[in-house]
Amino acid sequence: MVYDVCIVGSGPGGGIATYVLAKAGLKVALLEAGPRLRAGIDYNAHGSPYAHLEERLKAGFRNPVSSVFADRRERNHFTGIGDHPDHGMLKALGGRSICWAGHSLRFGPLDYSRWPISYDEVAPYYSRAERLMEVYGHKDGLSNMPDGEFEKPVNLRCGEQLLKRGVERLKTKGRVMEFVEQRKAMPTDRQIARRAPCHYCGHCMNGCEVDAKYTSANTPIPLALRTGNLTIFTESTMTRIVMDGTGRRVSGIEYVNKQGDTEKIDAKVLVLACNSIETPRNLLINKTREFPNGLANGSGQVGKNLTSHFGLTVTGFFPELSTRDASNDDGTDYYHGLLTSLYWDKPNPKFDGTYQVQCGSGLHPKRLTIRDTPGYGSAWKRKLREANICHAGMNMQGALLASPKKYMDLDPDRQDRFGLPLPRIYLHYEDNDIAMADDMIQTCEEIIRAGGGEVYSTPGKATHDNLQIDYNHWVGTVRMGRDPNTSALNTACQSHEILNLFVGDASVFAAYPEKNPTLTNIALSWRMSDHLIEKMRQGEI
Amino acid sequence: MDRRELFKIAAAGLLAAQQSSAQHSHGDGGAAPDLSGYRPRFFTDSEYRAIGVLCDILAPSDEMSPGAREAGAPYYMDTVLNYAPPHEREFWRAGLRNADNAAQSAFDRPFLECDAQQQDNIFAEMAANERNPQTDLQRFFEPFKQLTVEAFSLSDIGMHRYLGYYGDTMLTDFPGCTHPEHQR
Repeated sequence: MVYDVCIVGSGPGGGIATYVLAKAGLKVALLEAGPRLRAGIDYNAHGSPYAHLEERLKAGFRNPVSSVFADRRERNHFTGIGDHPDHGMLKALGGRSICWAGHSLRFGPLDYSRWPISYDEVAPYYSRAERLMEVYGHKDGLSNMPDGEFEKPVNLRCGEQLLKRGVERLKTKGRVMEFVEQRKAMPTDRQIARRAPCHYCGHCMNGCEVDAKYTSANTPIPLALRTGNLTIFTESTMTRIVMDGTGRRVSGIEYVNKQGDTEKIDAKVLVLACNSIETPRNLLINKTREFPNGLANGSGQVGKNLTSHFGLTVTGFFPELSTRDASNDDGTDYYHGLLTSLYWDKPNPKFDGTYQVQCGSGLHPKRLTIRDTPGYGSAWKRKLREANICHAGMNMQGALLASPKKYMDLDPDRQDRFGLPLPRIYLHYEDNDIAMADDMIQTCEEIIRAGGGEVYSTPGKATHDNLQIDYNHWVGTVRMGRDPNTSALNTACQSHEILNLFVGDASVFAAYPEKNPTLTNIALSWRMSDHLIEKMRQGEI
Repeated sequence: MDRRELFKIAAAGLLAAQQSSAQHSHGDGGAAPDLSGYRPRFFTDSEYRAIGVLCDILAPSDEMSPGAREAGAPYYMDTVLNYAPPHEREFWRAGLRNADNAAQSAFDRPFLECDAQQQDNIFAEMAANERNPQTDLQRFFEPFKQLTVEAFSLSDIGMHRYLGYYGDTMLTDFPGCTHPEHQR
C-alpha cells in the first residue's frame, strides 16, 4: 500500500497535520517513536504525595507527584556544547503537547515583519486553531498580540493583581508595557466545551488527567481516526528516508518497530514534524549522492538559526497579602498573568529583540517557589509560610539572538540505539542576550516595587551561568524563506529541492519573537497542510 | 494493531475524557500513612533518631503548627533514600557522621547524647554559610534542608494545616482575586 502522506512525529505540528490531511480524504500514516499514553492512568498528578511515595520510588521515579514529562523525558538524546543547552523531548503519542502549559499567544504583525509571510496570511489559521484547541483569553486589543477566538478568560490571583498594579503605576510614568490575563488552550465554557471542561487543578504541565487541556492525542488524532483515513504506528522510530529512482523525490521511510524489526512505509509525500532538533537531525543524517549535505540542505541552512527562549526568575514579596484569607489558587497552572508589549514599537537601543514575563502567585506547596528561603527554626518556618502566601513570581522569557554561535549538528562520536548520530546542540549566550536579561531583571524589580512589594529573590545581574534556556522552545533550524540560497523551505513549508518533502514543526520559524511557539506551530502546520492538499490536487506533487 | 482497533481505543479515549470530568476524584493531597511502628529501612535506628532531632531544629513544633518530625518527614526521607542511588545514600551517611564528629570534638559525645543546647550549637555550625558552605558538615545542610522542606511541605500537616493549602479539588469556576483593595 502506498499512503498519500507519511507524517513523522505526533506533537503539536504533526497532530494537526494528521487531522487536516485525513479530513481532506488523504490516506495518512502517522509514525510516533513513543507509546500511546492514557490520561489519568499513565499519568495522574492528583492524590496524596505521601500515599504514592513508595510506589513511585519503586517504579524508579524520584518525584512523589506524577509528571509525565519528568517521568518519561528523553534525557540523554543530545550532546550539549557551550552554556548548558538542554532539550526537552517526550516520546509519546501527542509528543510534547501532552505536557505543555497551554499558553496560546498569536504572533503579531510586527513579529511577521521579519518573516517571508505576513500576519494576515496566518490569521485565519490562528482562528481555526484556537477554535479546535479551545483557547480561553481576554480580548485586550493589543497591537502585536492580536485577539483570537476565545472562551471565557480565567481571573488573576491576588499576587498577580499587585504586579498589574505595579505595571499600571509605571505606565503613568511613561513606561510602555501591558499586564494582561494569560491565554491558554483549555475549555472554560461548560456550555460549549468539546473536551472535559477545565477544573482548575493546576496540573497542566504534569499532563492533564481529564484531557481538558488540548493535546494532539486528545483532539486532532482521534478526529482523524474517525475519518477512517489514518493508520498510526506507535513505538516506531524512523531510521531512514528513502528516495525514489531519480534520487530527487522521497518514496517513503524505513522505521524500526517495537519488536525491533525494520519495516517500510511507502508514501507520496513525507511530512517531518519531529521537533526543531530531530527534524534537522534526520535531514542531515540522510545524505545521498544527489544531496551530499543532507536532504533539503542545498542552502546549508539546516541546523543553523537555532534559537529558543531564555530567562530568569525574580520573586516579589507583598506584605499586604499576609492577612488575606487562604484560597484555592491552583488554577490553570502557575502563570495567570502576562507582562507584554515591551519594546514592540520602540526597540530598546541596548539589545535586539523582545521579551515577555509570565507572572504567577498563590499558595502552591507542591511547587513552593520560595523553598530556598534562608535560615531555620521557628522564625524561618514563619517566613516560609509568609513568603508562600505573599509571593508573586515573574518568569522572564526573551528571544535568544539567532547567530552563528547557536546551531545544531551531528555528533560524530555518539549514536542512538539504531547507530544513528545523536544531535549536538550549541548554545553560547552573547552580549545581546545578557543585555536583554539585565533589562528584564531591572524591569521586574521595578514592577514589584511599584506594586508595593519587596524584591524577595533576584539574580541581580545576568551571567552565562544563571541564565536558563527554555529547552522546550527551540525553533528555527529548518527555516522557511523565499530564497533557496538562504532557507531550507519555501513559504508553504515545502522543501525548495525535494517537492514532496514538507516540515510541520516549529523548526520552520523564520524569526522568533518573545511569545510561546505552540499556537503558531499549529497554525503554520495547518497552513502547510492546506498547501500540501492543494498541490496534490493540482498534480504538482 | 489494526486501524479498527485503534479507532475503538481513540473513541473510548474521547468518551472517557468526557465522563471522567464528572467522575474525576481527587486525593486529599497529603494524608500521611500510619507511621506508628515504622522501622527505618535506610537509616539505622540511631541515624533515624538523629534525623528526627535535625528535623525538629529546622522546622520545630511551635504555636503555629506541629513540626517536620511530627509531620512524618523522617519517614519520607528514609523512604526516598531507601531507593536513592549509592552515592546519595553514602552522602547522607557521611553527613550524619560529620554531625557526630562535630559533637565529639565539641562536647566529647555523640550527637544523640548531647543536650538540646549542644545539639542546637552543632546545628548552627552546620547551617552557617548556607549560601556558601565551607566544610563537609556545612555542605550537608542544603541537601538536608531541601529534602526536609519537601517532606514537610508535601505532608498533611505541612501542606494543609501549616501552609493553608486546600486545592487539588474540582472547581467549576476559578474565582481568582476577589479583593477590591488588590485591584487598584
